[in-house]
Amino acid sequence: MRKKITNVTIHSIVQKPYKGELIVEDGKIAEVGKTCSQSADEVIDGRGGLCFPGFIDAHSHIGLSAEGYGFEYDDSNEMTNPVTPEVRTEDAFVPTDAALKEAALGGVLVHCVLTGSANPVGGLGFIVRYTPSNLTGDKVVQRDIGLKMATGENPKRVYGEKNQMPVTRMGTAAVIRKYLQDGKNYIEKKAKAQKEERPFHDTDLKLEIAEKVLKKLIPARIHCHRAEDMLTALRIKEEFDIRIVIEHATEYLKVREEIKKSGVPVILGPYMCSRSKVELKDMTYKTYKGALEDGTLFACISDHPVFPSQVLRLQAGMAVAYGADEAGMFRALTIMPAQILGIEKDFGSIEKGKQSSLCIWDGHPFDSRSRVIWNDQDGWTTL
Amino acid sequence: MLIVKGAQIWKDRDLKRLDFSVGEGKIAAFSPSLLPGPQDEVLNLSGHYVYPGLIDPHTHVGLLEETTGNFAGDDVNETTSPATAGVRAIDGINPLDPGIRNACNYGVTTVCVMPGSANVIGGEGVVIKTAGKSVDTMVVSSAKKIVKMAFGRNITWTWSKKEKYPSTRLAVGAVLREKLNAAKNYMANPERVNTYEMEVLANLLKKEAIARIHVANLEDIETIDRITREYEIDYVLDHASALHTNPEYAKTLRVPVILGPLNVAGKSFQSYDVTCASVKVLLEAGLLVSVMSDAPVIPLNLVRLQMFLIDRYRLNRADILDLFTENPAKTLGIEKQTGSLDVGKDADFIVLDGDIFDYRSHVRSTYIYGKACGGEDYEMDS
Repeated sequence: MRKKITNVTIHSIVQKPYKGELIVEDGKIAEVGKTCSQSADEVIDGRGGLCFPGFIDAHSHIGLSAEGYGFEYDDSNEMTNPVTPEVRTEDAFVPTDAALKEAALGGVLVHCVLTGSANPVGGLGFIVRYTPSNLTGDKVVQRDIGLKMATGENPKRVYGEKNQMPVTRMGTAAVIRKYLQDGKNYIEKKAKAQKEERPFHDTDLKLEIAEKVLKKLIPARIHCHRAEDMLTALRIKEEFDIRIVIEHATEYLKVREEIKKSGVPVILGPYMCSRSKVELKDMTYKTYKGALEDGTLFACISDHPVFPSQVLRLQAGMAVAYGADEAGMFRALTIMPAQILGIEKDFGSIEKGKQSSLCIWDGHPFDSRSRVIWNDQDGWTTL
Repeated sequence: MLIVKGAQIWKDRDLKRLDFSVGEGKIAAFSPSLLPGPQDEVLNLSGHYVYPGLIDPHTHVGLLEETTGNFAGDDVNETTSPATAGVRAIDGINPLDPGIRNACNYGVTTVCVMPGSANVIGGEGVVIKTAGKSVDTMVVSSAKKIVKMAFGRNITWTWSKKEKYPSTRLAVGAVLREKLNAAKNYMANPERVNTYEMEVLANLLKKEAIARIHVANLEDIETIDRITREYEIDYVLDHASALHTNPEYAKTLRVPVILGPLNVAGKSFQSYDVTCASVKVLLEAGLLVSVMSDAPVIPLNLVRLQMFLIDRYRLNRADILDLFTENPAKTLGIEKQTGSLDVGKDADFIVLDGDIFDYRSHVRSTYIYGKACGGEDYEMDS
């Protein structure tokens, strides 16, 4: 089945917008340009709309506290142990969460679902794309894409109340460091068994994940708001030679040189919320402008349900109001998160060979009055 | 020999006018007319209907006793650890529980009794006949070994209240993975120290036992499917309240399902999808479907109520009876022993004074291993 989309302005992200056409076949973009030569079984008249790649919300808890359920589907944080690398967001994800459909109406078609930030070592995240199916399996883009970690106020608040380590920032770093050191020892133990040609029968599922982080197969996704926490994250990265992504990075501007030097990507947001904690004191939309100027690889995220993923685009619009380059902010919703998540071959721009993760808008996405009128999963949408 | 004469009997998916004989607890022969010898005992059942004894593949009778209050006879959940593979239902069953007597009197001759759903791994279940004073003599030894498990809100409800792991659905699957991994390590270790818990889990990995997994919602079924594939263990879905919402997906699972209880109020969001229609949908999807009472959730004196409710969906009645006889027998691995009236099988049968689908008909007597041991009248007498 080959579909042709005509009468749209193509915002490919990699080129300036232009009036054009595209051909979609077997869920992939087969051709894109001012005119397309291939024939099609079905022609979709885009009604003069703006065709964007689906936005990517690179830090979300969508589906982990499915809306309107309360306790039964409240599964963001396993706050019973500060080290829970073995828990998986895929196991708790609710594919029928109403927020997914709403997010699609706001142009967000891909979400990276992470555990919360209660635990210094939180758990494994995964990436989903929007489909109308009621199965998680139909939505999975990639499993076990990173190990969530957390610094700052949240872990010490949660465990402080239990009078259990960590109750300070020092304690949080020590918990993370111990976990990674255990992982190093575990790798050695395994290697030793192999060298001595002994069967290894001490497989440890928590440390199997540390091994993946230490071998740079997956990044540590480290929640940090304050500058000092980001420096701690960078310190741990250096010590253990691991890949990290800094999540939130609220005080990015205070350590922009250090982050630039490290080459670590950052996840910026959420800003459409109040400064509910001390560590959010210096939160500002100006951060986006700064990160764009620095050439830092970053993503603009909702942290759903902190604010609904559906209005992620308005946060990007606010960044523009605070001086960020508009094209840059579109990259922060598309190709940059795709690169951070390692899915840029399939998502993040409208280019031949990529997945047809597409939305047609009836107006500019940063204008609150606009909405997605068509997407590749639902076709023409209704509110 | 016992010669049963004159009844309409349910055989080969239909009512037939046949006599049959019973010897040494097993069905010996069928014939349109059997002539009793001088030593034979004759049971004349003219005007009556004989069906195979019903099988309830998921109950807590004897473990969660009736009439004993909230503590004394409640032995269904060992809620001191979220994984208690080492506990066994047989050690908690009171064979004199009125719930078991009810089962027998109302036509259920075999029940599977399992721990509850508060733990990710609850413990070993057991299949028993419903007559006897010593549970050891009641055990159906041909049954598969059973390890009860659970996913979803019952787990997180239990453990979050204690502020213990697993307090969220994030960690439920992790508990199962952790234990199966421990069993793998155990099996691989030549210097292992034998523990009953690890032996039970090792049985799963060796496919000498099946996991019986309490689950309601679809996303948890997907998680179960992923983990059981990872560790290559056989499983049965118990309750599976939302599986019928995606029949195409159900087709891909190829596992037995045990639905029910079907006539309950939704006490949680996870019971929202409970409907008798699920039986029809999942049979059409080609799955091996059985129905449970979850007794004492539905007490077994009401066992036929679910049959009547399913009958409203106008399924083939032979298919409906299979839900309560042959299908649970196959699921439990006891189909060579019981579940239908056939030569060589246990003489587990029930005598009704009318068609089993007629709500006015009563179970007049229940026979297990060819011995009369209950019936609705028995209860009235006692």
